[in-house]
Amino acid sequence: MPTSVSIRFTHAALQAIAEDNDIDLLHIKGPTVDERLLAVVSAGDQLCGAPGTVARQSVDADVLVRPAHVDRLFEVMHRHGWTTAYHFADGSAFEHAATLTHPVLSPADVHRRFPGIGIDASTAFERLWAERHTVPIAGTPCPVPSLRAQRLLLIVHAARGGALDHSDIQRSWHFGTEEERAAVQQLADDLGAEVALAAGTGRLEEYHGMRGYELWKALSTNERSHVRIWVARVRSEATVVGALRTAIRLILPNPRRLHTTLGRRPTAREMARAYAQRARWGLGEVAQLVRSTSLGRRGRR
Amino acid sequence: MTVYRIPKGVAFVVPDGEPDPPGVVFLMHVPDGLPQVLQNSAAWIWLSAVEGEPDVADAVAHLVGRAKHEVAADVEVFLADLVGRGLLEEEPSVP
Repeated sequence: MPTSVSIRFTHAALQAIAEDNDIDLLHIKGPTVDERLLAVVSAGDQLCGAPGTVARQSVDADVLVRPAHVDRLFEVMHRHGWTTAYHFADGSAFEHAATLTHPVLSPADVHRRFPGIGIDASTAFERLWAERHTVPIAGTPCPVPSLRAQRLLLIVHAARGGALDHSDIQRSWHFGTEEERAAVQQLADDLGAEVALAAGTGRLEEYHGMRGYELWKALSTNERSHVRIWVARVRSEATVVGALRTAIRLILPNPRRLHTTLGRRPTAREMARAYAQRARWGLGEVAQLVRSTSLGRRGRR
Repeated sequence: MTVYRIPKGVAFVVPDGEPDPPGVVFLMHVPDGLPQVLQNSAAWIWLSAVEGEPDVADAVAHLVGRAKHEVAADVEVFLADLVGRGLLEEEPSVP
């Protein structure tokens, strides 16, 4: 079965599970993206001779679930044969998504929040849910974010990956009308996503000094220094507790990732070695950062 | 004339890039079924049925370039098989 087919079935299966268990989820990215935001292939490249859209390539099915329903969704998915491969804390530093796998279907990336959206995750979901609409995926009606919300999510996602020249940003922002851009900006303001949106649309300097500026500058410019990104992530946290948690989490090795790499539970000695490696790596990165900073200062004299 | 529809809980995908009419359709009972694939005339029978063709055998005969009487019996058997497997259901007739 082609991956593009399997991903659609995953969306349909998750929607069936959601409906049977009163779980609210929005289908995002991949085959759920509005046709108006897809790349267009010219008539000459099409067998039928008419212009058409290019299907998005994915490896998994992404959904955004109402945060209060996350535990219930996991419990039900497990009953239907899904296995948690990576929990939220095992994934990106944003801890925004968990990956679940299935013996037949494509993996599901279950998002409890979307990186770049600054307001409380439940409030943000409600805001997106309020303006949802339904599209058929694998013939199954699935709720998806509004067109302007899809534009925002695509832009912010591309910016997070440092892909500022990504065609998603072109189609979602630069090729949009003034009204369309204003609608996206208004939603970003409501969701606390204005810094991330600005990062994706070449206007980040307007937000210099605001919380999140350093992080989105680092992410959107593909910053190579892990320490610089670490510092930016810690500083972008709204609370001291959050900052401490992020600071520690980014330094410690991840047992579940190690488990996956080794194919078995790591031994105490392997965990200790992983701690030592992370510590050496951290010191090396800091030393490099200090060297580059002092060299930079000398150069300016 | 029997009218068919897709049963609730049956998902279907025609893969990207398929010609018209598509030569392949994947079906699956969600969330727990196994994906199944229908190809060529099997796909055309299912698609014709769910698209509301009033005479599925006639539509399929046209697609395969044969006379209706040559394919009608096989089409009817396959439609019944699809209904039995829960991949198709008959619309209740309107009184």
